[in-house]
Amino acid sequence: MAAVAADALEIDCADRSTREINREIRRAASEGATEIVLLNPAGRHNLAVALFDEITVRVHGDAGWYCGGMLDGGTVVVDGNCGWGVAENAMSGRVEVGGNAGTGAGATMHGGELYVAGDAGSRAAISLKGGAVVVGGSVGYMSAFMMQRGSLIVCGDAGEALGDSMYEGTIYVGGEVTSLGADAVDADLEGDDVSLITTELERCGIDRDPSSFRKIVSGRKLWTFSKKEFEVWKTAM
Amino acid sequence: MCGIAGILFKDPDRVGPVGRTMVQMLQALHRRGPDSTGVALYGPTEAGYRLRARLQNGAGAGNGQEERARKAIESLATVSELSPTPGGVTATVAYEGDLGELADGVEAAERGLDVLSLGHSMQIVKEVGSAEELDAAYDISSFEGGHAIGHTRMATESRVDTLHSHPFWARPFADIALVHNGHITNEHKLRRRLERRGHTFLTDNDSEVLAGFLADQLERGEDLGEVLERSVAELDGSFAYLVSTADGIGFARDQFGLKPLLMAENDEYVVLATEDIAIRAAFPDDDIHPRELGAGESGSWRR
Repeated sequence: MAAVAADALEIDCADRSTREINREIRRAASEGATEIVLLNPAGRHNLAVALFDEITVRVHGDAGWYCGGMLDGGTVVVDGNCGWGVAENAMSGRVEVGGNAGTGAGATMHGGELYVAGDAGSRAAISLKGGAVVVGGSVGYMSAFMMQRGSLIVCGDAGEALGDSMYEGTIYVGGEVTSLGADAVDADLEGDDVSLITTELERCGIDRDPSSFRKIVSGRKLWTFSKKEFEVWKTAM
Repeated sequence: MCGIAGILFKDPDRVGPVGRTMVQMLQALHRRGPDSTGVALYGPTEAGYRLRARLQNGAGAGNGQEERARKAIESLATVSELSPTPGGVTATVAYEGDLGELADGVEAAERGLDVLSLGHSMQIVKEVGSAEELDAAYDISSFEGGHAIGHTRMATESRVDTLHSHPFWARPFADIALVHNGHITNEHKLRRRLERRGHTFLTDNDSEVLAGFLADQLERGEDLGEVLERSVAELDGSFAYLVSTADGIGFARDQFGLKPLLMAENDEYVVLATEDIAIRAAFPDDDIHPRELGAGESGSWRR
């Protein structure tokens, strides 16, 4: 995480409504600002949402729910912790969280990258549709549930029912997995996987042996209904 | 919705600004629960019981209800002190015997008098309105103590009034209170089970049943940690709740993690809240790292 630019515009969240803060970010971006620092976020929700410009927003402290949501370009860097739904539905761009994230980190992301340096809560990368979610710590219960594309890279441990009912996409876990969800299966790590993990971890400044990760993909048994495999469906439903 | 919060200062020999902390946290959570606000505050343990009661028409209205409340309490216990509060009365009483009989008896003796809490160290203060309004009426901010839990309510199923506000006293067990965000869907089954054993409830609220359900087990000598852990499997529905006892706080989250709950701690205190916004309202600059508690996780802290 690079140092703050000297000419960064500072916005004090303490005496502004969330709508005012987000409008000010947009206005500054349209006027050519390249970096904005949000002071006193105090766990406020919906900060730096729906950014469309190539701008860096640094949140100095903790952000609340949906920080960096609907991001389409630009970078959001939170040096504290984040609540539910960080980078939810992001289309492109990058969100970095220095601390922990709550439930649904990177939920329904279509593209771009989310990096959580600490732990992420339950349902990380749920319904992921593209892009990459990298978690330096661990992820909670039912992460990557119904994942459709993209990748989830977990350096620590994963909770129960990882990858439950996933369609496509790939999960990589460096630590222990409490349990795999319905139709999530192990797969062999190949050359492409190693280079993807290497690229993503390098971007996050994490030094880990990529070949030590466990790879999990969809077993594809839930793609089509088969009477012969009724047990699989019974469990999944 | 609803917001819940708890604070516990770890050093048993010291008190902390639990009142001010609760007001800051609950005001920050106001938007999650604009209907009513309440706190269960734990101060020094006293020999007698602190009895807090709500008068339906409020105290000091010159209708003699306060005097009748005194008589109702005196009919069962020795009152050493009784003072009016904005919504009722607070009394210090000496009493030996079953607390359920005391609470039920006091309520039977004076219509419109409802016992909100009974304990050696616990006081429950709750009213319709915001945390700031509660503080303005009761001066919660000046209260120093070991720990506290609180709640801001967005009512979904039962009425909006003082009695249906949280925290719920785990009637009839001294010093035990509960705040809850969620719905307990097997509430009726648990209610019937407790009623068969003689427990009474003031409301049709599921959270009051949850308070009794937990306290009933604690009173039988069961370990708080085990009771909390087991409750995750025994309760149906969505929940994140905090339970407080004379010397500690416990929490549990449902198995699907449907209701948020964060925890942060350092050497001095442990703080729990529905959202980080509450933790940061009370501890803006402390080097703490709020962590989302896991789905189905439970735990407790003692002073």
